[in-house]
Amino acid sequence: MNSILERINKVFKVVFGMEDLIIREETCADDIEEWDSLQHINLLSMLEKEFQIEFDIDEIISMENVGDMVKVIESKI
Amino acid sequence: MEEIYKLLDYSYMMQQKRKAKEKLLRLKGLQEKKIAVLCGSTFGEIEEFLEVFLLYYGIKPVFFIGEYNRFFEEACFPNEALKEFGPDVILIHITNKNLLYCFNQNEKPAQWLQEEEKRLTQIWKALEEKYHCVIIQNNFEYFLYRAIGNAARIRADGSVKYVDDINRFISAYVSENKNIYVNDVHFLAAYEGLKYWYDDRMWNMYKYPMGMSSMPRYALNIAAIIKSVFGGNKKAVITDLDNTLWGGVIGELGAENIKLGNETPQGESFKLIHEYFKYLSRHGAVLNICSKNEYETGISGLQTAKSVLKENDFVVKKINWKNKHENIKEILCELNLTEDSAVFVDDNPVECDSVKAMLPLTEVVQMTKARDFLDELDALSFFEITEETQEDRLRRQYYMENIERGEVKKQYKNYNDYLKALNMVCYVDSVHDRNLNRVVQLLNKTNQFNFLTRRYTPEEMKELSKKPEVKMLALELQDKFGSNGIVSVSIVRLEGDKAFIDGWVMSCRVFERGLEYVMLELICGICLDYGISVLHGYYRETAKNKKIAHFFDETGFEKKNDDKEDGISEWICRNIDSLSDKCKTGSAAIKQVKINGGGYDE
Repeated sequence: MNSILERINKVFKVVFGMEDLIIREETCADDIEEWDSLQHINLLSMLEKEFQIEFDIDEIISMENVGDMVKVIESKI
Repeated sequence: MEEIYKLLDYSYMMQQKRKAKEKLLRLKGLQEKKIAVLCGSTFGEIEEFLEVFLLYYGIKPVFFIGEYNRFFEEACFPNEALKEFGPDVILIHITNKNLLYCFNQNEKPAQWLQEEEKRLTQIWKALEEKYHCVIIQNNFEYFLYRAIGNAARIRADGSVKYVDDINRFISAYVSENKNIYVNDVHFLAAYEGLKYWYDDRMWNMYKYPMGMSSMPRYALNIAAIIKSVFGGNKKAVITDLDNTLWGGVIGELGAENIKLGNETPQGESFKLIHEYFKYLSRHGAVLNICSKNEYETGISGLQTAKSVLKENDFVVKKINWKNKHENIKEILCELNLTEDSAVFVDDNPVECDSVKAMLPLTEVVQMTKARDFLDELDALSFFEITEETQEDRLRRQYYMENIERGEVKKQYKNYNDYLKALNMVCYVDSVHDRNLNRVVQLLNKTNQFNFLTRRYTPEEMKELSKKPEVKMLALELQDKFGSNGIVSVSIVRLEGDKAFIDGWVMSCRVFERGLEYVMLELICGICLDYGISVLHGYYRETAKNKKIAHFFDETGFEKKNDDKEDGISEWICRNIDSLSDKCKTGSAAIKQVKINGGGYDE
């Protein structure tokens, strides 16, 4: 079983179309040029599909970097 | 191309969209179209999806995306940016989030509805007047909540009734006006299920009117309309028999025991497929058979009373033991259609794969379960009707007559004798309201005998037909088997002592009949009438019109110069009298040319 971070990384690769993208917990929108609001929505939607969960609005607002995503996802699965 | 159906799944779309786009962009013969989107909500990611689907249908889009929630202002007030963009299509991307209704607080609900109708009409009129282009109007999905339960459908202030009323209004306008089409969001939302269609988080945070999962289907539905308007519909269905039109193998079971009709549960679903195909054939799809069977055995399935589709619902029937792709090629050849104009249907994955490999441009839809099969066929909307003309309704008959012509042809050793025996009469008409739809359709659908492959909207054609310097000819060809309808159109522009053939198309149904020479002779006639001494023709090669690459050369035009940047070559004829004489020889088999119409009406 892959770690949550690895699975999130897989989703990032798909959304940004970058095969060799490596993310860390600190990675945030400033680190990836293509990470704009449009792609942010795609990221969250694809994460929901990957982990079969649904974020609520408070959670969506709270997720500013990859580490936040890991925390929220951990709490839901 | 089966991938495209899978792209309706959002996750799959996200994974594949880049690759799909790259692959499709490599295809030849894409036509560029300018698509403007006026927004009531975020368009965002939908643009990407729409691009993929349009490319799949052969259209390379250039987008103009309006500001969020400025659709009314951008449509109704002066809009330099949009004017300059020069849209071919304007999509009005609004959903029920943009309706004035909000659990109608008004004491006079009817007034709200009137207000809504007034607002939409204002938008349509403004766009029609300013941009003369295709307009696509979304209709509205139901609200997720009703508050007063079932009464919401009955009471004037009910949320269900409100949506019904406004949708009925949109449908009525669209059916009475040309060049505006409805994007049936109401159906899409019902198909997906309202509860899944909406994602309130998407609206609250990003102003997306629907959930991400529903966006690919929304995009595909729009792409299907656009491709139909610009001539991208399929023309023929080529279907297998065993386990496709009925359950079981007829060679083993015999016609009496195949599963078809309402006596067996499996037969019910095949009956539905029959009805679906029969309906399609009434709306322009030419049905054909390609099946590995003995002819008599295969055909006997259609001769039973339980078969909705009858033998003569099919135009070409290849029931033999040859390779399917060879049979398909022959069918297309007999119908004079190109590889990409057919949909092939078969239950056998091996057959499907081999056809895909041998005929990559032919669409293949594998018959699995009736339910899944029809879902795919329906979603891809190969036969989306935008303008339906008399030609569409009579297409099967035209092709049937063509097959009969082929039979007669076999009796003659000399092709010219055969042509003479056809007793052809050509009716010449101008372009006017009564034949406008057909003329536009012919210009947009014709690929093989089409010198410039320019596509026109009805509005553009109407404008052109009003210009005194533009002469347009529409030819109808009749022979002893019946009328072929309007099968050739030309657009000639006069300028001083020169004339330019800006457009010229001829339907593949009437190739090798000499009709192109009748047209050219008529164009020469116009030149002589107007004292014109030089005639210019143009040709731009596409993947499909190589047949006519040497036409101007062969008729004595001279090539003016090297091809222009856009791949258009220009041809000039300075001796119109001699050209006219040459045409007389070419058109000798056509007995009579009658000026002023054959009474063609839509």
